[in-house]
Amino acid sequence: MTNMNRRTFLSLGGGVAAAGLIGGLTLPRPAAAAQITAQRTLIVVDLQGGNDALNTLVPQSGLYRDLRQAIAVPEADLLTFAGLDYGVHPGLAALEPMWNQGSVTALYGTGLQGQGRSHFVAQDAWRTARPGEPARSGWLGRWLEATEPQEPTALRAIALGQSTLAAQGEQGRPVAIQSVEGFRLKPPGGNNDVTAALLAMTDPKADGLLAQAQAAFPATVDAVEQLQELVAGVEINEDDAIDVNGDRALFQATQAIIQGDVGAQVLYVTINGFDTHSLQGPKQDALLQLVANGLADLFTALEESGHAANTLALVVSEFGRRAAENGSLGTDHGQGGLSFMIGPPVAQSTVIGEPDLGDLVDGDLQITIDARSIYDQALRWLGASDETVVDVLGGEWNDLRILT
Amino acid sequence: MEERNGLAWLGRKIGWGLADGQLDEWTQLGTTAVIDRLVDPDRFKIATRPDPFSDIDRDNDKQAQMMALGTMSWIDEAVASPRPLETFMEFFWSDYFAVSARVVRPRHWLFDHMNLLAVHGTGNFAELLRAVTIDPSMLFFLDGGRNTAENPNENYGRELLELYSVGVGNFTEDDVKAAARALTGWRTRRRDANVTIRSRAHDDSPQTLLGVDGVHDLDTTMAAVLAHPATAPRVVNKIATAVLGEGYDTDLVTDLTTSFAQDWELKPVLRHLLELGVAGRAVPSILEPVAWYVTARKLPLAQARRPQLRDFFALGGQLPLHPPNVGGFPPPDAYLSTSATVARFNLASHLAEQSRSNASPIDPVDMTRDLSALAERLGFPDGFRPETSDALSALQPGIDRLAASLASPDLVVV
Repeated sequence: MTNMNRRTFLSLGGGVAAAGLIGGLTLPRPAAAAQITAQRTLIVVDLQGGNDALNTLVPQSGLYRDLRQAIAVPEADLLTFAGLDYGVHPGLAALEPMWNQGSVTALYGTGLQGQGRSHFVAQDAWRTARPGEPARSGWLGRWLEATEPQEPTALRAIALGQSTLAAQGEQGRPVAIQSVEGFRLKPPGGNNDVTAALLAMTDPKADGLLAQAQAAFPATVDAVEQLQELVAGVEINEDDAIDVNGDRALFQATQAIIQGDVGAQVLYVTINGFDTHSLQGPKQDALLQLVANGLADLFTALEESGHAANTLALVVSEFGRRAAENGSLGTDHGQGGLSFMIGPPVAQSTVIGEPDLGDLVDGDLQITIDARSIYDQALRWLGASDETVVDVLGGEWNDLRILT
Repeated sequence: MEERNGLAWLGRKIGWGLADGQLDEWTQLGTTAVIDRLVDPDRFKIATRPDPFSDIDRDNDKQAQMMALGTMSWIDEAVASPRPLETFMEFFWSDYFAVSARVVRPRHWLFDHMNLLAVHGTGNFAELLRAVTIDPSMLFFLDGGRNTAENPNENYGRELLELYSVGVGNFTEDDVKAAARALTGWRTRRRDANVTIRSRAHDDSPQTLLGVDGVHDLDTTMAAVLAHPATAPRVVNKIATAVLGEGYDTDLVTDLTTSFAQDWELKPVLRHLLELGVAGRAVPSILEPVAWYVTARKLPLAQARRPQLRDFFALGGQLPLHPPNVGGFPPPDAYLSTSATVARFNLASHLAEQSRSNASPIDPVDMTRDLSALAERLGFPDGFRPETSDALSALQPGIDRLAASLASPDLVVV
């Protein structure tokens, strides 16, 4: 019963009573099995808390080891990637093959001017792309609402790990998968009459929060019906030492969704834990490994299934941390950060921007690359016109050329 | 009748549901007397909150299991508590300060943290803020225990200003450094969680914090952040948003803010906000997962089993004692997400299925035969909305109806 798709289920009507109840409900959506080919998918991986840039890609400047006497990544542990003038944190080892294939561009000094050192102000600036404005929608949400999908689907935007303002539109919100475990509807005794009853609890005249609450269930049924088989196959390894929050499953779910060809254009994965004020070493090791392994495994799988060429990953974090370590074997909040664009659409493996440790602002790396210039690239790659990009992002930003 | 609706709102929003017969009892007492009892239960000799964690084995080798048991026990206490406003505020502060068992080690310090929030949660904000600042959980959570004269750590100092008092835009980076310096030297002894200040690790030199000179220790730091004109409005606004909903009329609390800034007493604030809510000045808000679960339990329903409850909190995004980050739990509208909707539906099903067992305190058929009685039990004296009522009527009395009413949109919006 649980695999029954909603159209079948609706046509069966879930019993005499329910058939009458749902008769008036209109349900515009494509067939669950619709194959959408050549669909481009943008994955955003949001390292929430502020990833420490300087220990991720370690500059050769001697100033680095002066600033990081206790927590510098030991010289012997640093990896060398071909042609890269930085030492690479060992947690990123899994990305080396992609680097060698020319599929990793790092951007050093990313941020939005004026974002400051607050998690929340900086996160809002990044997610809304409207720094200093009380925007209620995100950059991806506005793009989604400004454009039509190839095929209409409730699954254009999916947030994994937690909901995100970035994919929130003026009206709509992304489908959210907090955790892949249990992402299926289980009516009591498997009785779909209960599901039908809930679908019928909508009042077309309702508005505001009540209307949203009423709309939540039908939208959920659509999403679950299309996604549950994809994500339910993901195995959770609860004993994984580097994956304390079960976040690896989010990458596996990402893979399943892309390979499932459900029309997802935006997948937004949030990973918590980067706010490393103390004992940063082991925490950042585990987290970088989680993300790098997750992405490397993802692209390997997508290569095999023929989806990789149409997939681009963007790794962001609300800020980089203070250049100098603090006294707790950690680092405090900073400004300029490190972002990555990863995947076959990337033109070449390189680092854009440069951390100048001799020219810090209040102890922080400068912001030299506006986050919107990265978004600009990503939106154009997704097919946005000049006009749409300007509408969505507003403001002015540097023009980068990162993608093929 | 209007009074009954106001009291039903109070039961759903603040009480996290109503016990059997409670709405009748409240209606007889009248609004003023009910609010008196909620706000100041000591005056009415209402039984005090027992420590919900007293039976939890803190030496449990399986720390995750220990936290799960502690969390379930905390919820049991919330279901049974004759002091629901205190529970509401305890949980509010746990979101406000957002100290999380995802971070704090040993995790069981969170139990003491919750008990501390319960003690001060409807008392005095100045005392609460001071106590939390040197609470072992908080000293761990935001590295206050690592903040020393030699190596200041500004994690707590920043969040004290940004999240716990004056708010963004009202402090500078120099203020962050000053607050961090003034709070250097506190340390928790791991063995017994005893907190002391080590004079050698404390920087007692005078700092200027928020324009106040001579700040050098805990008391002077507290005095400086409380003296700032942005603190009281910010705290009142947070509480008012929790009680009256996002988008309430802020003009209603202006006078309240002025008096709060004088004495930091929470009871007058809460009393006024409850009066406004009962009088219909609240705006619709989402009943968040913890409140929703407690509401369902008050029917009464048996405790959900641990795996189902874990899925509910994981998908729902609101696991008590475990806020995801320093910003606290997700904003209320996140609980309309796909994930949270799945979580609610599945737990409603599970709770209904549990009610079939012999151990169930209710017979689900009896409970759901009369829909208007069921609606009243859930805090809707005027019944469910027509569409909801029609849909429920189409189901047989029993677990199907019970599950569908618990998962209904009516219950989610308060």
